[in-house]
Amino acid sequence: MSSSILQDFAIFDGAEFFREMGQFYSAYPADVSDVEEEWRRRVRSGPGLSSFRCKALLYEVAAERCDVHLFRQSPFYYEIVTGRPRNSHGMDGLGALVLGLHTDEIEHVRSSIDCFEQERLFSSWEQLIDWDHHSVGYDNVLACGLGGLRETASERLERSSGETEQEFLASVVTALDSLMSLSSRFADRAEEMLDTEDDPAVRARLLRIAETARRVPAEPARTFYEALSGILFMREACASLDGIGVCILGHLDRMLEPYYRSDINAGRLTEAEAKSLLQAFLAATDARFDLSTGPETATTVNIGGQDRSGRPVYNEVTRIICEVFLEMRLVNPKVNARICAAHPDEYYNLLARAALSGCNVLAIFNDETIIRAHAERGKAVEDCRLYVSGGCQELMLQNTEVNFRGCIYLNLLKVLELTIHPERSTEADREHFILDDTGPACGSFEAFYESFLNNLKSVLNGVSSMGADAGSHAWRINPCPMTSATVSGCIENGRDMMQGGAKYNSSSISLNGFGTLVDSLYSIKELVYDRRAFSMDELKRILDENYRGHEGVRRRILREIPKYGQDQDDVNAFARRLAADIARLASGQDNGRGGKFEASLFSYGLFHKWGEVSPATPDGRLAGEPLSRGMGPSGYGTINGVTAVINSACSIPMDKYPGGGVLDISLPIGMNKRFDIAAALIRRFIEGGGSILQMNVMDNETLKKARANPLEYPWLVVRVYGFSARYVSLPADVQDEILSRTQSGGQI
Amino acid sequence: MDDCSQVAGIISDIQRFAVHDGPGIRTTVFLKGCPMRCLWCHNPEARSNESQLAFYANKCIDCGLCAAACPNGAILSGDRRVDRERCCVCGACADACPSGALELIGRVATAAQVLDVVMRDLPYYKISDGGVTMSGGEPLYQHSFSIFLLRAFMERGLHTAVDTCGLAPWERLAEIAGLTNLFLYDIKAADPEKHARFCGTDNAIVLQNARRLAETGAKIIFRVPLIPGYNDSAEDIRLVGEFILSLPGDQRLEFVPYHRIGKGKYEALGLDYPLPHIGAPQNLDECKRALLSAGVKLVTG
Ligand code: SF4
Ligand code: SF4
Repeated sequence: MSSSILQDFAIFDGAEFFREMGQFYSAYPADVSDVEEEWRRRVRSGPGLSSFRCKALLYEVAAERCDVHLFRQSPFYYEIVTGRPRNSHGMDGLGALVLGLHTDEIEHVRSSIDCFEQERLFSSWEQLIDWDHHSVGYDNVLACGLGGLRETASERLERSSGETEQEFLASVVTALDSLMSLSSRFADRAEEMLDTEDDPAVRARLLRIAETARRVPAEPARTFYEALSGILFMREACASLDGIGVCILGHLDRMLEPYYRSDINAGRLTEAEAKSLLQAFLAATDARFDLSTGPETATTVNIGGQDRSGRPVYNEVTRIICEVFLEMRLVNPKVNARICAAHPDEYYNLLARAALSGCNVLAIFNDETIIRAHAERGKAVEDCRLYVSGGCQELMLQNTEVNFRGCIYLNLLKVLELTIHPERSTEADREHFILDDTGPACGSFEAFYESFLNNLKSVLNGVSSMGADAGSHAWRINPCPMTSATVSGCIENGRDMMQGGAKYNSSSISLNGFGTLVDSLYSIKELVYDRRAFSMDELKRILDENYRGHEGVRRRILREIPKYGQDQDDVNAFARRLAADIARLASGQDNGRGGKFEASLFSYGLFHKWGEVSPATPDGRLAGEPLSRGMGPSGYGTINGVTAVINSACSIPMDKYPGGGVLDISLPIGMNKRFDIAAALIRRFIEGGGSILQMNVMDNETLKKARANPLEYPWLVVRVYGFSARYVSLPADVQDEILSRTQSGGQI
Repeated sequence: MDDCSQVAGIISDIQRFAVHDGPGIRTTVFLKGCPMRCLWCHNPEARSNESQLAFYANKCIDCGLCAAACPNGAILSGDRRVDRERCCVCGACADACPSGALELIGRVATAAQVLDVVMRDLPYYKISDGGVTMSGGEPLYQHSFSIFLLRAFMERGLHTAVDTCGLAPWERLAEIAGLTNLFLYDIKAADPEKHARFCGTDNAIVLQNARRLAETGAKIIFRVPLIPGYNDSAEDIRLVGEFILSLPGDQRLEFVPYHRIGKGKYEALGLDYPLPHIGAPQNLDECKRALLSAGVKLVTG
């Protein structure tokens, strides 16, 4: 067979693929009331069944009755019709039924934290339990097969003691049986379709499915195609039947490379076929979701990084994955690219190219920092090397770790507000936290800083204990034996992944507004204590009045008080100290599932939402303006080049943050061909000890906003012609001209 | 005198992450003072070698602090805030101004202060094969400060570029050449008469220096500003091309299209904008094609 010719089953027709899927999913959510009714009947038949039993019944009913759908244009088999809506990556449809039996408990948690949401102290739309950011233990599935896992589980069941353990292990066995039966049903369906199918390419795909689906993932995967099939099947099944968000498609190039190599060597696969298969695999997310509504698919793949032994991963599969993204301009899954200093320049250049392509799907993860952060929490370094991340950038160790990483978000600026204004604490605050009210009267900045840390500590301890309380019930509310079966530790320990069964079980409280906090504290230090420009009382009054009548003071703060992001030694040192103190306070509390809380500087959209309703801050920020994002600077100070921002961020000890921290940087317009420059920035970020980096090339929308609100965009740099300039400082007509260059929606 | 904190010059700005002033990621140091007076100058704040007061009307919040601070009663109201006749450029108003609407451009900086900023991005220079660029103004104007800085950069292993208009005694240029890895050498016009008319001086020294510099084997990129109606006729371009081709060595050229970027700065400095009537050149590709077909190598990318 010539290497450029595709075997029929691997032919990928993108247009047809999207058309077929779009048509199918547009009829979603499917009506599965009969399946649901049957499940309810079985649940009612035994009095007071445990959640494990209820889940096991659900698996059984689904395996018997749910429709399994094959797409003519896809060589994979994964669509189980469970009522999960089109724009959903889990937590809906039949999978959520067990959770639905516990609405009272969930409602109770919700109402108990409502007051904190109201006062903007912390937010948790998942009621303190992370149902969302999870992964399948793909390596375990590919290596052992579901049959292998079943054997281990049933052996362990024989040795089990105690009702909960037995029920859990029994439900694991049921889950694995159900999965294998669903997989076989795909083979049956393929055979049925073959009876009437004429198209040779479709027939080839169906034949391949018919001969594979009975074996994979029941047995270990042997080929590239089998591995991809197994991954996609498991992801979709767990997302559909466990009622959790399974966001992660896994550390793809590392997992796939051995299959790819042996297939190529054996002449079973060509590079072009591998690419077609990856196209169908990767395009499945964009094809399922209705992109016109701008949905958050929360779906990610990881590439690069290291293998268990610490060897850098960068291979043919890495290159093909990147090629598929650049050529198809996929919007999802997000590519979370891991990289370390030992990676070749070629990989840096490839990521630079992807970052500047304007696809905006790439985040760059620093292996050294992230692996060290996890290893320092007592995890085996071989496990740490296999970390993955998703729905956005929530970090976890593939196969071994189950985290509650993205369900509690804390507003650092609210803690500062309570330190400056102790009188604003609510009854609920005083009930749950021991607040230090000495802030306003402190005679030195050190004392004030101490007072702030006391408050932060108390709030973090209080919130983590609420989190632990809720977390300890997660397994009763919605156990996940199917996903648990794949995660190392759960079967051995006889405990569900929601019960701390995994080898590692961590939690995080994501800390929001770090940059605004650094600048605000630094302003207080300089103005109130060092320069004695005004007293704390005067500062309180100025903030209360939202700087009205004090615009001069505000401008002076913006211009003269050094800001995080400007790469000034004093502020860098202060930011480093603050970040280390915060990391200490945000780590180590028990999480109710046998694990600990870990520090995270990760933020979601809350910097914006909270900003809108937050009062003015001492850094010159007006009420209603956004807080800083992730671990980035607030953007209020004039910044001399993006190198200053990266240097500032690299002064933060991110190896104390296993939850990571994202730095977003904007590159000057006109940079989109300068791959060498972008690659250099990435390398410096990695060598400097950064955590997670996202690069953006500025677009039309941002320019428009900058044109309207110049004060908020002092950092925005554009290429005029042969040189760059700060956009807001350009004459109005030049600003308009540059804006007009991006009018067509593109970038320049 | 070799102490970095003893040697000082006057600079208008230091820009980090400069990516258009030579290879890689660079920091560009803008020195004040220039012997030419090109009509299209887009850095008018760097021409004089003394401090200047700039007023940016769009930043002003009308707080009146400047008027209270001025010892000379030189603060007016409205967009023409400064009475330039009365102003002695003492900077008191800029110190008092909270918003940066009044700014004293050009500050005395020691070599140590310049190095402090430049060295912060050392890792980027190393990774990207970048370095530091001396621009202005005209770096040869503050000749000994430039030499001192360039030597300091070289001692620290940095790649150095000098952006020059070429109008200086040859000895100065020769001395700097030994400390410079790359020249960005401006040729405004090859026709002496045009050059005199538009830049206030004839181009004999500029062209002669260019030739002598090329003869030393120095690495040079020639930069030609393209100013519609002034130096962009087919004949202008042909003459520039001929000159470049006449030089020894493998010389490359790059066009810098005119832009009205400088307009706001003229206004801020209270100067009249000399070219209100022209826009960006429309014939860039044509000019490039003409030179390419004549055999001139252009800088790509
Ligand atoms: S620079 Fe001095 S003299 Fe000139 S306007 Fe300002 S305060 Fe007055
Ligand atoms: S001090 Fe500055 S902001 Fe205030 S009136 Fe003068 S120029 Fe305007």
